[in-house]
Amino acid sequence: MTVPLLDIRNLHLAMRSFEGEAHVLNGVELCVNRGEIWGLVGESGCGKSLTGLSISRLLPEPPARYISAEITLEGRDLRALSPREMQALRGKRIGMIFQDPTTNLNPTARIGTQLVDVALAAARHDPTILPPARSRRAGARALALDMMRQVGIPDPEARMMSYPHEFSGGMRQRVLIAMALIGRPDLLIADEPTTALDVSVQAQILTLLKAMVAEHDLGVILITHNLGVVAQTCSHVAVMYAGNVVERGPVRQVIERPAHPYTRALMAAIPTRDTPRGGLQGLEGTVPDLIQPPPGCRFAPRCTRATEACRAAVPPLTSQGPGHEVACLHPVTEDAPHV
Amino acid sequence: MITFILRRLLMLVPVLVGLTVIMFAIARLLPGDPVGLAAGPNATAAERAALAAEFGLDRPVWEQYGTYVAGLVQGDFATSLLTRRPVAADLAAYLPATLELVLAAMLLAVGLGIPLGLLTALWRNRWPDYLSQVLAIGAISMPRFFLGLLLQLCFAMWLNWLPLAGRLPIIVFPPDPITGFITIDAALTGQWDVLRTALLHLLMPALALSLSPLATIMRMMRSSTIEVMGQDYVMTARALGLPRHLILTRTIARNAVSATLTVIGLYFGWLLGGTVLVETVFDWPGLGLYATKAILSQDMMPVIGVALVIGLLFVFANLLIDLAYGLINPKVRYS
Amino acid sequence: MTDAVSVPPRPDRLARALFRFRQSRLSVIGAVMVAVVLLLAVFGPMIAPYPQDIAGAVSTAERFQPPSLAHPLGTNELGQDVLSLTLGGTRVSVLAGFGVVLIGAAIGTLVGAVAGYVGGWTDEALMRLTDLTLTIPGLILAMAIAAALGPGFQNMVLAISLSWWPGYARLVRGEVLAAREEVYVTAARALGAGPGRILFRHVLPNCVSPIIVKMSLDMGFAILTVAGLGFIGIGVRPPTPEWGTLLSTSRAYMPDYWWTAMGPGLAMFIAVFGFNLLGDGLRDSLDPKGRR
Repeated sequence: MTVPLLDIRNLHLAMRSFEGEAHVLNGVELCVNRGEIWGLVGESGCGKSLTGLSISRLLPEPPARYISAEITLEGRDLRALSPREMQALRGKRIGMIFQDPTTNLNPTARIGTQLVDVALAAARHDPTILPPARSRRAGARALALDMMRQVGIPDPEARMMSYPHEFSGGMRQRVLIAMALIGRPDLLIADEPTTALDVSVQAQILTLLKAMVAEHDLGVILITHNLGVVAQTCSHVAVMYAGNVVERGPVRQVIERPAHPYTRALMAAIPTRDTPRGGLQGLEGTVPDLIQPPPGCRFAPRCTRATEACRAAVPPLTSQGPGHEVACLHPVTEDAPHV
Repeated sequence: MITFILRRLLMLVPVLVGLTVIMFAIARLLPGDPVGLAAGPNATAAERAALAAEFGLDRPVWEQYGTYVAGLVQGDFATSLLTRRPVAADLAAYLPATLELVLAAMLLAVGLGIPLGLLTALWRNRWPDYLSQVLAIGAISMPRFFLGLLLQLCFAMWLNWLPLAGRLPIIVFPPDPITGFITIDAALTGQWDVLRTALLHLLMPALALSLSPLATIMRMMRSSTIEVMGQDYVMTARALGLPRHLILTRTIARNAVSATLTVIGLYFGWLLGGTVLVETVFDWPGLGLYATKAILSQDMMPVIGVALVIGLLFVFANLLIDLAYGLINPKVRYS
Repeated sequence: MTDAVSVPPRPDRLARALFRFRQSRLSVIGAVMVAVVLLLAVFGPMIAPYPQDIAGAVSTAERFQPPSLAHPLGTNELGQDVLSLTLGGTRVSVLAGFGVVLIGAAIGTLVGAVAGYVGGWTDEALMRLTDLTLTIPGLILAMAIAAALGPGFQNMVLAISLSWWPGYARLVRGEVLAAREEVYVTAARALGAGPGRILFRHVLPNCVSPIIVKMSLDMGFAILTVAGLGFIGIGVRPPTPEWGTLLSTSRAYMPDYWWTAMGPGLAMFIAVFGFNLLGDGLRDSLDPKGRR
């Protein structure tokens, strides 16, 4: 078996807040190979974004604190790297795209400058990404132009001189994708890349993302709360609840045969063509207190199938089919009622 | 951009009119006896009446105002009651000294305040940051004239390192005025020893004047840097592996400076006012000293003249700041 | 299962502010300094070692004595005890500072409230006047008014106040403009409350905490301005001791009799420092978004 691109095991993370230390990630397990697009889904506050940030170690410590974690990128232990080595990986091996394209570009620098800066930073560790040119800067500029063309920005020569506020939201997200991919990363972490965009632009960006993955043979983690986006874009999905991955597997299997009661509840909350009027089901209760979490399965207080055993210890991920794993003692076995 | 500048310059007209009205109201409507002070205690009633008639002080206020404005249009700032010299000539003589002092102070305040603010923001919540916050409040609380006095006591009287007061010693001939700034003129004409002397004279007054705005700009810069550091685009820059120095200069500093700039414009006006006290301490022959002497003898024409010039400078300074702001922050481009 | 999360009871706003204030050691130090200055302003003349010097007594035999046990800050050119004069000057400075800030805030609040509430050309005219006053440096304006009004404590306070109000006018106008769009104001209007009642009962009370913050931040600067006028020679006349005037007199006796400057100079610095620390702390705790 080959070494996976990204392997996260036993990721426990705590965050200090005014009320106390919250145990926000509680043993996240995730494994991503090249060419796979993993959808990471869950309610807000379940730890999706924190998982993404803790991979590239972008969380300030304190308030964040790693309790235990094994995060390896092609076998290299990311936690053992020095800050310098980690910085060398960012942009180069790991690209990131964040949610709000209006706030993620430096408002006082030209688009071209921002792209060229990232390209130059990446080229310091791998000069081969630059096309041959008179100087490094000229090479970086040519690469930036090429990237802008690839992500579908019309008239890139002229647009390089523009400032972010002169771009539409969709165009800015394209710029951010170009910036994330310009260093030829192996892993792309996209944190809600389409949430702030119009629905029509959303589809364009997701299509673009898929095309880029195919072209560059990337592994992708797509963080989202939108199961529709996952169904449309991803090859695999991991469902998170209160700091745990509760179910993971190929996207078709998980959506057609969701085994975890929480996944099932999430899906029941999506309206479809066949949903009768008034038949939409919300999920009772709220995410548990993470400062003093219940000892067992964190979903147990909201779960209709919970038993004493559920409240005693966190259930481990167990196989539920080829590549399909679920962290539940009483998984649901029937097919999903709709979809 | 030209229309933007022209429109802003056009706004000067109502400002000027307003300033003259306010200052005239203060000068003529409030009680006070300028004629008595100018004529001296032994003057007879007839002598006073003659003096009042000569300066038109016996006529109604609105008529005096009309005469003044009519003169102003031709560049005539009326005549000082006390010295009988035209105010315009005095203003022209004293303005460069004040500007030289204020600009030197501004240079110190901005040149040191911005990097210090950036540094303390990076050291946030560690002891150098706490210490500099206390020092900054202390610097703002220090009366400029007391600071000036302490500087004089230390460096001029006890240590004898720096000259006590004035712009140049009497025995040194100032360079031929080109800009009116002795330091620049001396440099332009290659009189290096004069430049050295002038700089030594400038050092203490500029320090005394700049300390409080320096501290304020530093605090402003610190808080806007902290705000910028929490912005999403800084996280993105880190996530994309930009080197630290680039994040610091291009991403953080640039955005923080653009937030600090607007305040600097306001402080320029404040400096122009504060120069009164520093000029008094250091016997600096500028507008402040001139206005003080005039005010003490209720000679109002020079005071109105100074207020007008300073008001104009204030508006100009803010125009310049707005232009600089447009350069740094592309979002506000003279709409 | 809606009780899964227990929400702690929301503490009272004032208690929160007080908590934040006490968290900051600097503001507590500032509050203590201000308390000492205020106590000295009240009791200074009583605890001064030579109270007769505050009233203007002269003893030429004791001229220019350096600091000693009998005269901790030395004596001046008239043989007066510098410590006693400095203590006596506290009352003048603090009173003048309070006067300036109170009158300035009152004028400014009135102008700002009327401008913001009435709107239209009244607003336009008042705000033009405000901007205009802001273009003349406060000290020069205050000097001109004080010179025209003539010497004396009241005239000086009035003169500075007349240059002090524009900041408050802008602040209050902004708050009023924001508040009159609030739902509760619309509700009060719908219930038939008159403009005066709406302004004083519903709009202005919401401006109180930024005004208090600004007043406390301004207190130090007001004391500095008072001293500045005294230093130039406008304002309170001797024999009433005033820090700026005392400092100005002592300039003539530098460097040999340096101690004559230290008492009033340091007193000014300490008083202003205290008020600034306090004002800073108050701003952070009462008006956290006002931090700029």
